[in-house]
Amino acid sequence: MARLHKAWRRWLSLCGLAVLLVLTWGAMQYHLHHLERTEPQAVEHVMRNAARTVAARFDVMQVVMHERAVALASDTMLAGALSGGHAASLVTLLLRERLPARWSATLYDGTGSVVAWSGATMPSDTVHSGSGLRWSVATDGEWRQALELWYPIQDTSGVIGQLRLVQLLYVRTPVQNEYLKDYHVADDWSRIAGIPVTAFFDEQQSPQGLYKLVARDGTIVGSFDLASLHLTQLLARVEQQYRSILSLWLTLLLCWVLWFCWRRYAAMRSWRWLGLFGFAWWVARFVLLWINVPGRWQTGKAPLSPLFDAAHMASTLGGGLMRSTGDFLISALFLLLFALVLLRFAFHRYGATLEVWRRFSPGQVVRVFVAMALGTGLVVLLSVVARRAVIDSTLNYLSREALLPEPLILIIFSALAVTALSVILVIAAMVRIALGPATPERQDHGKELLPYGAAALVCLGVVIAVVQAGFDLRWLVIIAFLGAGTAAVFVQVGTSLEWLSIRGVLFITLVVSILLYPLLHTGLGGRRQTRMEHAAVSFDRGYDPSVAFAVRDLLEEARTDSALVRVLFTGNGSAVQDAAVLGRQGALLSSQGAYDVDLQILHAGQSVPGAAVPDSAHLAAFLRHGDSLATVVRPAPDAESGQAYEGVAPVYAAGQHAGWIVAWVAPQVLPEDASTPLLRILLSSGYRDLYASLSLGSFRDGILRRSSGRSFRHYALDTKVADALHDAAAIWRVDTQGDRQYETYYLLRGDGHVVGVRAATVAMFDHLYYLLRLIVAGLMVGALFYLAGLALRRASGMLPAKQVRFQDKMLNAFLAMAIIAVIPVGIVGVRVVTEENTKAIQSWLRNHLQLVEVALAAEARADEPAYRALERVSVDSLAARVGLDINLYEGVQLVSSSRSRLVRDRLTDIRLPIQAYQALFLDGYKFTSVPQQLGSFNYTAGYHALLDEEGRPRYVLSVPTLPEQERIDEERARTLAYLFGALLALMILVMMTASLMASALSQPIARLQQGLRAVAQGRFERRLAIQSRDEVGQLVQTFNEMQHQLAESRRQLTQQERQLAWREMARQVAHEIKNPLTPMKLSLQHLQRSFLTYTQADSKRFADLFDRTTSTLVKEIDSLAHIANEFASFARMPSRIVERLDLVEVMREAATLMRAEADDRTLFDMQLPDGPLVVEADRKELKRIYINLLKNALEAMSEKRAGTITVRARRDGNFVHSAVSDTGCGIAPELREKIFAPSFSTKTSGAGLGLAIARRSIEALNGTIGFETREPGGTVFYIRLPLSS
Amino acid sequence: MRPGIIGFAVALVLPVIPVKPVDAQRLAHVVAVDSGLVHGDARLLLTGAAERVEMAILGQSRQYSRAQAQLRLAQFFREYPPQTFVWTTEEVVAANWFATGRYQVSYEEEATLRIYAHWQQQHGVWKLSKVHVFR
Repeated sequence: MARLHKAWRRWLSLCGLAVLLVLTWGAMQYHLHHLERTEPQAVEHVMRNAARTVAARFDVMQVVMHERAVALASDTMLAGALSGGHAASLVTLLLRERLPARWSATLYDGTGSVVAWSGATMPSDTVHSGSGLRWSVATDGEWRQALELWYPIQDTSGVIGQLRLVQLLYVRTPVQNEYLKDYHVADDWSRIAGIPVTAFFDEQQSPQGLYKLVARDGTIVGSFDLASLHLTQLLARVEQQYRSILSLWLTLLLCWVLWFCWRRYAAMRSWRWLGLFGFAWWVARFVLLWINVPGRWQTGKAPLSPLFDAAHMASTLGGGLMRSTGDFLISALFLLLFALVLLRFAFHRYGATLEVWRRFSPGQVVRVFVAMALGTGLVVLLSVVARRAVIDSTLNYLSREALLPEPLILIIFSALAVTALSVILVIAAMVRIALGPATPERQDHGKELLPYGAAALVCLGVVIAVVQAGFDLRWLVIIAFLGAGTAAVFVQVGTSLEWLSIRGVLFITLVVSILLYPLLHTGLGGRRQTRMEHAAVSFDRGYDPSVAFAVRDLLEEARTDSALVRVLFTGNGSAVQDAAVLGRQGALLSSQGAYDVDLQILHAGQSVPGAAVPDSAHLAAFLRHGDSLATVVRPAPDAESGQAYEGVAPVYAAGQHAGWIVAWVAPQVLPEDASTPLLRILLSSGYRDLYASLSLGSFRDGILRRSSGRSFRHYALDTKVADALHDAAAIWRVDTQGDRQYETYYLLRGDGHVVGVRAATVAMFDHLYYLLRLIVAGLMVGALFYLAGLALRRASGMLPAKQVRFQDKMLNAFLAMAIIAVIPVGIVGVRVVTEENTKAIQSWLRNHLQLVEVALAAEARADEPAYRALERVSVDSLAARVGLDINLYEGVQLVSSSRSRLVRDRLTDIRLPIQAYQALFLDGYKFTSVPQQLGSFNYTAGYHALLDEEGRPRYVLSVPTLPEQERIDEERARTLAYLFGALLALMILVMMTASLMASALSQPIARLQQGLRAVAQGRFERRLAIQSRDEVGQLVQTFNEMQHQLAESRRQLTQQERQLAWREMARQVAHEIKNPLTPMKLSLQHLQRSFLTYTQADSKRFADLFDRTTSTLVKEIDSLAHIANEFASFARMPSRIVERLDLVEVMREAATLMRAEADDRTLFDMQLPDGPLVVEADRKELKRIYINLLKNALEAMSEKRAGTITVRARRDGNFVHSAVSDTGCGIAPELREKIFAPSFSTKTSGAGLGLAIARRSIEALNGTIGFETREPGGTVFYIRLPLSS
Repeated sequence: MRPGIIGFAVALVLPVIPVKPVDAQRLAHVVAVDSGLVHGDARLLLTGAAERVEMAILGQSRQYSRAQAQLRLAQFFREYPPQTFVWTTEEVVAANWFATGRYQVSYEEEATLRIYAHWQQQHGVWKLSKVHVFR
């Protein structure tokens, strides 16, 4: 009934899912049809909802800001500090506030002066002073716009200050890369509303008739517009939503199908169902890819959306199995589960326990070869997967900025580790299937020479082929994988949940990571080489035609811009540096990188523009060239690098030539100048993808003309390289410079132009560093497996364990001890390294700032403080002198910078960071360092106060970037990696030591246990060897003595029992003999009397009497003879003929004989093995014993009901265990002790010696005989004999 | 017309077009990119692409392998399905060939994106090396 109920539930759920699918599809069709019929209302409804959503989001933004302002302003400590003018307290209070990203806060006192601030500086036109709050939008040129809230801070006397909270709404960056990105709040609104939103916070730019953005005080701060929504677009959106729901039902349906197939397979465990399940499994995976599950539910949603973004990693390998990071991980998990199923099937079908065979059959050898070949193919495929995972990715696998790689790389590593583990398990499964079922030792070896010889020849051929092809690391990796898979068979990985214990997971993680690393490294090497080849082609363009094209594109777009054309008729050649124009029409140039663009508009005929334009003669010549009325772009002749461009395009109005647009374009950062991280982040991601970590050199006529990076230190091209390039257009070499080796690619580009690309080779410690990162990823995956294993083991009743091996206890104790020791060491080590790193950076900064002060002091006159020299020395020359970028603050305001571009682009704040202000101005420190952030790039800046005559900070020097920071951070990451590696090695060493110690301790205990077991079974012949001189050795010695005493006691007991038995037997003999003797005597006495009284008339009677008497005598004599024979059999001295015989055959013969005596209702169940079980015994005697047992079994079963007699035998180590069982009445408890006693019998006939004889015979063969009985139920007589050796 | 048929037609017609080999190559590239953009077929678009392609899709430019570029473009076409595409400019400078065009996103008349393609010639063979998509 329960099964029926279960089956119904199963099919009901399937039907339910099908109904849901149909209903959802139907609802989708109806909804779409409804939308088509009510198009205008539907569109209007969606637009209205979107507008409401945007307005609501804007309102929420204001509510959050308002609440924060209220909380801050109502802080009584803040009000007290503000009214008392305690700047230090105000700064501390504001520093305590953890403002969200893109927020900033400023505190003003009652006079409108800034007293504390936090976050980026946003200019304000006026300082609010009213008692009410005020909402407005602050604008910082074309770079930033922000929503600002002015909130009054009041006490009992009234308004004592203002709090200004600012939240950025729009940020423009000079370049788009992984660190710097434009931000517009409208993008967030677009994502939430589902419709593109355009927001305007500048009233002048805001078109009419749009949705208004109203502040909470009623002020209109901006407006927004929604992209018009067409019906087809609306229908597509709605259809997309329904398809997401349909995908969910389809996913559940797939789960149902898989569950059904799994149940069938688990019940049948056949090849057919395995194949069906495997087919369904992979079809399900590809269906999930087709319906884009779960990626479709993550689009645009943090934090999982990057997992399914092809921009990070995407490969076409496998038909989509690796089309994103998340899909790769899911595919790896699918593969792992399938591999586990395959392995468990192999073990289930062919047995998990493998005996150590001495010989393999030819068939097994061939099958194993095939398995190895397939395994080799799998490993090769794994290497392809690892290579594609690296090459088809934009992630920086070799980044050394932190110990742990970024999350996406960790996930890819995890997926690769899971895939590698799956390959090992599949190889194990194939090997197990190839080996087939366990077979006993083969007897006939003579016919196997040919197959073994063939196998040996094939092996030799493979070795020769490998050597010819070049035995390199790949082959070692393949062999290692094949070895790991084969070993997994023998240690039964995957068949037991015990492998999911912490020790098992740790071991597997290490093995998989070590095996995977060479494959990963090969992929990384391949990617690096491809990059180097591409970089060589792209480098040294100097004049980049793609940039020139982008400049031309900018001019073409600009000259048709009506706004710009209007300028021509409103002014007299005013210079235009309209970045908004550039933003609209320089998008192609922006996508090439960060460029400075100067645009100028000139009237036609104006040959000489204003003095603001340099080199007017050159411009005039350019304009004359431009008289051809075509757009011209060319390299700027005064640019040293050849990477600046100038262009001119004619402008027409009403068909007439109205003027010119002139453009000068130069890169903001030349790649070869990007020697510091702060400048390198201004490069485009595409450029960094191409050139990061590479050094490039351009040689013309053998001389280095231009280089990027630090590795090309020789000015002349190596002659060997030059000679090699005569024969080949490109070569690879390993060059040594100093103590480092570099892999270098030289490309000949014609006309004696050679480009070299160089990258540092991976040193041994680097291998360790990257391997450790891979192990960390593996441990993360391992931790999840361990947790899953905990749950599974608990569910299956393995936890808490009923029995724990001593060895496991020891290992767990040592592991726990190691973890407890390692964790605090690790924590302390990380803190020490981090602190040392911070100190190193601070020390570096301090030293260099002191150098700057020394340089100033050298410039200052004898009677003036150092800061006075700033009036004469520019920051640029100071920076050039010390080789660092310098910012100069007067008070808290930035007044000068050696990188003014960063200030212009709002990448450097114009106000001193509050932490530096607190340290230098309030706390009185001369130097401080403050963590800074540029986009998402973190760095440390140092600040040094220059004091005035009164000892107060007058100026502050800042070193905003640290050339060595990268190197120091890399050293820190590397040190942490080595620390982690050392701790891991320590743990491994502890585990190995624990394993050895546990083994050394548990082995004698195990031997003792075996000895005790033997004693319990009555075997006293086994003496344990004493191998140690400690307490364990004493224990063994004591055991041996005990065993000896027990053996002696047993011998004495046996002797006594034997004597007792003989006495008993003699008594029985006497009793048995006496029985027939009495009637014999009486008969003879009667005959004697009859003879004495014999007369002629009694002759007939006498004859009858004589006949009866003699018959009786004969019968009694026969009985006496029978008794004598029986006792002779029992007491017979062993004169048996012992030979090697097959016990199974003997048992079969005995059963055949007794089957003839049994009736039809008695069933004989023969559970005998197919192969022989060879023992040494007397054939007849053994047969008689089994006949006796079978006879007893037959007689034990009642005549009135049918029964079963089971005859079975099996191998049990070095013994044979045989048994005869019946389903009879069983043996009563009071009789059980006498069952083997001679002459005991419950039968009416016989002398009761059968079992006694059997026992004697079995014991003579060094075996044992016994029984188990249940009343009623039956009895089992078992015999245990040693196998013939 | 399906992209596959277009590609086949180009391959069939090209040998009989009396043009110089390099022009035939460029024609094939233009057709492939054009068809790929019109039909939203990333594979077709990257038919003549180099092993590494620089792509910027409404943001930062990155260097992608061809396989990754194909999937990245496929993702772009899913988010911005095509309606029409029109070439606007073209220029050949030495071994560099540039072209731009306007890509109309389906269902969004106001959403027009610009496409920039850059081919480089190496050993007589043109390879698509850059694809930028920007507003």
